[in-house]
Amino acid sequence: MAQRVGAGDGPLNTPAWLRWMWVVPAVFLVALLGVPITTVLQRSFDVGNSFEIAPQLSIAFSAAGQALLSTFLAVCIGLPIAGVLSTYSFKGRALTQAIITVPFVLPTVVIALAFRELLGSILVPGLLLVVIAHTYINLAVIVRIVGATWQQLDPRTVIVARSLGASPFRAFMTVTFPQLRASLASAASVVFIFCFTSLGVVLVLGDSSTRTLESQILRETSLLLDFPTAAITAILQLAMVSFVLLLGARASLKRTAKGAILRFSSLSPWASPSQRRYVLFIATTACLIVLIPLLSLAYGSLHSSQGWTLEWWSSLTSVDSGTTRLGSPLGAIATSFKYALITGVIAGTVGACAAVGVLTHRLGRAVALIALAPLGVSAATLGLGLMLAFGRPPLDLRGSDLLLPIAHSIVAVPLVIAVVLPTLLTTDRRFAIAASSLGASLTRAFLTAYGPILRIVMIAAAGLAACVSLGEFGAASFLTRSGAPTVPVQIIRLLQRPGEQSFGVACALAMVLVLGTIALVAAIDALGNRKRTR
Amino acid sequence: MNQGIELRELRVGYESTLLTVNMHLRDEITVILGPSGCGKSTLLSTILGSVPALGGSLVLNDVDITKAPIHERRIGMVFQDPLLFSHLTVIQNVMYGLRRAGVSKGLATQKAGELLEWVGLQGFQSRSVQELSGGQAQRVALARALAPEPAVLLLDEPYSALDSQLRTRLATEVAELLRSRNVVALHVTHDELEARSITSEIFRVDHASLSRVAT
Amino acid sequence: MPSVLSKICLTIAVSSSLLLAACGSSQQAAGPATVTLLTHDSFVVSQALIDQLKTETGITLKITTAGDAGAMVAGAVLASGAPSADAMFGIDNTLLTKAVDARVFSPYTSKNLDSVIPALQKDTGDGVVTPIDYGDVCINIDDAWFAKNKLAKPTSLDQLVDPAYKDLLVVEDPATSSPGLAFMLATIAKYGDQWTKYWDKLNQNGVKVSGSWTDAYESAFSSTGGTYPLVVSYATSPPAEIVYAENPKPTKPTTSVLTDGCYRQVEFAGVLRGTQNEQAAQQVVDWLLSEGVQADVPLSMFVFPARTNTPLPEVFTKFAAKVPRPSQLPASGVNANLKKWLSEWGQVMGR
Repeated sequence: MAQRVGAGDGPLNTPAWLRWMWVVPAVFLVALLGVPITTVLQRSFDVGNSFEIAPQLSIAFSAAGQALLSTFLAVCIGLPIAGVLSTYSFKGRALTQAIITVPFVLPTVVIALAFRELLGSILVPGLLLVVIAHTYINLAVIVRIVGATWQQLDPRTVIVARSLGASPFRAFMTVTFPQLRASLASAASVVFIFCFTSLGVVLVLGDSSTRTLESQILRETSLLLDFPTAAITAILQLAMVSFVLLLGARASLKRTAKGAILRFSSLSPWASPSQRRYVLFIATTACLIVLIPLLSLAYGSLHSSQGWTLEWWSSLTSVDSGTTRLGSPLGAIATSFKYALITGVIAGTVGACAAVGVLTHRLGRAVALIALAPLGVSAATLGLGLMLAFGRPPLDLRGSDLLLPIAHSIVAVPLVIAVVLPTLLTTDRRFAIAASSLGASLTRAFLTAYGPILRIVMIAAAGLAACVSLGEFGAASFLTRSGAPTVPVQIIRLLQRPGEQSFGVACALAMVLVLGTIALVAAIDALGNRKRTR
Repeated sequence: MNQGIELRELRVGYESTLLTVNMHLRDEITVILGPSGCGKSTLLSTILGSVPALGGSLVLNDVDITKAPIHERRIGMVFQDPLLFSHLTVIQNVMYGLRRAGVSKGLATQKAGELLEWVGLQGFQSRSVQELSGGQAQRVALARALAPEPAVLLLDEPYSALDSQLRTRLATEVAELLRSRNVVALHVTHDELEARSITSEIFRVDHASLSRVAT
Repeated sequence: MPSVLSKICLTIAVSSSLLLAACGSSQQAAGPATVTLLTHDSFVVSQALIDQLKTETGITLKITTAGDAGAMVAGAVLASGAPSADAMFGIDNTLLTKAVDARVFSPYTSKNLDSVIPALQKDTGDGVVTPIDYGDVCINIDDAWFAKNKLAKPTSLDQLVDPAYKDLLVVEDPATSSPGLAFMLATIAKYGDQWTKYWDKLNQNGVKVSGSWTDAYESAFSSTGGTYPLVVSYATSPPAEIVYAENPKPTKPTTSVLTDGCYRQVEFAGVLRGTQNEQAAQQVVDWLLSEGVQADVPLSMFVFPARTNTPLPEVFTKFAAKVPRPSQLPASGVNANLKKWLSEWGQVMGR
């Protein structure tokens, strides 16, 4: 294997201080995830120790069915979009990619609201509506994660298969698909987890057949105050999610271990008129799928029983001023963006350290894998845990503008790592070795090899984390906090009271969130593309 | 019956490099010689069907295939890189086209085995394609392209990734193999030495068209 | 072993987080004159009243929200004895028993308790909370729809199982919505052992169940564009429709209230056990029952003040429904039976 020197599994020869980077994510996880969760579980069993498990198992079973169905649909719709976006270069490609990403980073309540506006009169709440909304939200996960791999496949392999007599579909099934299987497995496992642990969508668009363990935890916690049962349910959920994560990780690690070096290839312009039609059709459909539900929000923000109006937008600055709703909706926007910034910095830093840790220490990979665990931690459990651990004396972070960004960071870090890890694992280590053999110091050699890619990847990761922060609601709703509410919280407050104004302003606020997110994602993509053209 | 492939006023390329080609290939190896970027790769892609023709027509055994999709043309291609399917073994790669043509698994295995022997790679059947050297991989790509017995084989700088000594040797060797099977082939290269070691039927790209090189 | 582990974890957490805290916190050094009031997301009070509290008593009021009432109480129960705040407002009569049993509160009722309307005076969870406001969950009626379809507006719950009112009512799932739960409790209070039979008939008469109040009221209710002219909401929803309408505000609401089968929700405030500011926290509970705050309550939160003789705004006196005989169930009974009732309801409704 002489031609693959250094691309193997051993940690790189690196300066000592870099080899300890894995400690940062490890401490982050223990302090901000381990402590709150153990605290809340311990307290829950202090309060009582009788619990029931049988009903939770049947809910877990039906939720798994719902999640499988949603994942299957997201894969079926997401794959052609991923294919088009990662094979062809065309005008509007960047915008299409940004638009596809928006549903994923919008608060689920906003999406649920949009779907109810759009389909509420056609479909009754239930499995179908939940599955449609889940598919919609998670398209981006498939398109982004699978697309990243797809972009690195040589399109000529498909042409070879075609010349050997394979129809476009056969060529996809026998050549492209097998090479995407690993990234598809990890993307699908993430989607499955999101649908399996879904809360907002299930509450607004579901019925009793679409309960999830997460909605059950919420019910046990805040309606029945049955803490031991809630704790057992939370543990069950974490166990099931960890199992799925391990399956997904095994599939993608197997792939990297096999040492298939993916090649970089540039995007090709469409060649034939039929390809051109296909690309246009897929890209347009994708944008329409994403935008139509959001347009119903735009309509809601500009319309009242009297006809078209701008009043809802102009009330963004004035609704509830002078009361303890603490500021106008405009204030909520400022708060949300402030928290998004702090979250971006925290999650970006932790993600960067985790990434360096993966490259430089055997324990780094283990830590990175464990850092995916928050995907399975119940938002209610996490929120209560953070409150118990850091929301009261002797350690009270509520006033410091940190508690909420910390919660958001815990939610965002797994996503950051999911984005960073595949890129780093496929980076060629020969650069670093070549640099150090030329007499550069170890630190310098490391930075020469990985500096540029780390920098770009971190900007993207921090941006993603910021988006997550903008839309996060689950844990936030459980956290005691002082100071201004975030936009998602404000939207929900507005929706919880009667009156046209409440609804119209909520739609206007949601539109602010939609536009802010599109801008943020487009900016991140622009940074990413700068890397590619270099 | 007009055997072989005919290029009638075939117009290929992009705005900057337009090429109009008239050519009739039958029972022989033809080489097109020209510097990179002159449009000869685009010509092959157009014949293969992955790039549409801008004008003219392409006739294979009396059938107009100008608009036919790639997989219905019965045209094989070997690229500059072997482009082997990395998730398949060596023999599975060679069997790929046979299986698509509906050949049974047993027969396909037998035929692919013979082809591998013919390109000098007996004993490599169940190897992973990642274990092959550059020259070996390109031979597998050749066997794979020939397995479904294409009407025409296109070779696009197939040896340019190899060192010059190996390049000339392999070029001669493969040309002999192709002749022994009466394969109609169009070979594109920028290397005059390689061209001459294959055939005397050499064309050169010249002012937006092809001209025969005098021998 | 877990405790050792968590102690180690805590040490790391404390040392790392103290660093973080030092960067941003300005509240750390606040003296005993600062009282933190834990409340739910729907709490609203005019800023002027908070400023007034400061000038009159020297107390700086800090408001901390924690999701809906359920989430807030859940957090308070788990933190019982070492609270995250000094006083709590917004716990209602369905959740009260759990919190009292978990010894969340420190014994104190407001010194102004005798000013509370008599019906509510006894509701103190055995001397640990003070009633602050109340509201009724009632079925709301889209008057325009009934006028247009020439159908008499219903006047009792019994009529709703009549085929004449088929497919007209939308309710919220009691497992996921607070008014939905209140309405279920109202039917239990009204029909006793026969309550599941009533729901069975409602079900056969085409009742629609929504997951949330927002879904039921903002989307299914015919007054907001849906097709159901009857919805479970609040007795104060009609005045809220006016206050939160587009300018110029309409002169009267297009909806009214069915005053039979209403369930009364009372919201309480109390001092949290373990607070370092016992006395100041008591003053905040008193403040919540003061004339100023009580007069502010209707238009801030759309509920009725608990204090007698509090002047009500015109939109309330004109359009808010006065419920003659609201239903209520003993808090301890609700606490003991809730899980059973919810599962019985689920069985009847097939949810």
